[in-house]
Amino acid sequence: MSDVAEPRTASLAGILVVLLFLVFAVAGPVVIVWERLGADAGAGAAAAREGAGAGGGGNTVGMAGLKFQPGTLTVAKGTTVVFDNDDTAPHTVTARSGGTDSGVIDPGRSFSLVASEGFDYFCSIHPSMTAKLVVTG
Amino acid sequence: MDIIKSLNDLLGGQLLLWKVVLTSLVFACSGLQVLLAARFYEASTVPPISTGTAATAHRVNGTLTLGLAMAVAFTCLVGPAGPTSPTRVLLHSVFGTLVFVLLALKFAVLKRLWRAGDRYLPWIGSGLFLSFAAIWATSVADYITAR
Repeated sequence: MSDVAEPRTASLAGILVVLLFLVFAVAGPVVIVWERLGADAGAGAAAAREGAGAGGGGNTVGMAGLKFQPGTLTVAKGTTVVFDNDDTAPHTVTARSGGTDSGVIDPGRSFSLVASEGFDYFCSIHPSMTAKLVVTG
Repeated sequence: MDIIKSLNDLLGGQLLLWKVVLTSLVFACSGLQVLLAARFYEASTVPPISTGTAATAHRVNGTLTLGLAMAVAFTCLVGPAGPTSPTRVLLHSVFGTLVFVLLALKFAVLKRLWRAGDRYLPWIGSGLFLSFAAIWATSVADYITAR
């Protein structure tokens, strides 16, 4: 079927190639389980923050499930706003107008800023993630 | 995660978009692989090329597909793009794992580690194509519908 000669005996290189693919095959589930364990650990903190936010006055934005929560946060000028990555993926907080850019926030890490003016922002790694910070006063 | 940051910066903050493009390319190439294999097995007259040329093209296209797939898989492993639901991630992981299991089987045959596996190559190849389709559906299709 092929005009290229196939090797007649197994070679060390062949064994290594097959092993490489098997390592990749196992790596996926291992990474997923590892990430999920980290996400579960952060889920409690996210739930607690959500409860606090329901009472009003929250100054924290969570990132989970490829969404910023809340989508719009209103704070007074000078407030420190914290962005917590509770997701299993890295994210950024990047202002559409330029200026503010958190850089990559790894899962379980946070980024904070002192609110001086409002801006629309998004995650540069996952552009479908968008939200807005409104600053009053 | 510095690898992801470096890659994302290198690609102008468009890492995920590049993954979408490359994953789609891998899916398309895997479809071409099936057509080329059908041609050199003489199960099809499409594409209209000789069986020898089809075999060579299958090998070259397979190498390209494999390289792209491993590059995308590497970026997934060092910085998962993030679940929009646990089910999607679970399925994506299952099919990603299946691809590499099938590749291990295929190369075990090609490298003469599993001599009796020759007869299964068409099934392995078809399984690879279907797995790539499922991976595309659980990543790119999800990315598109989420926008």
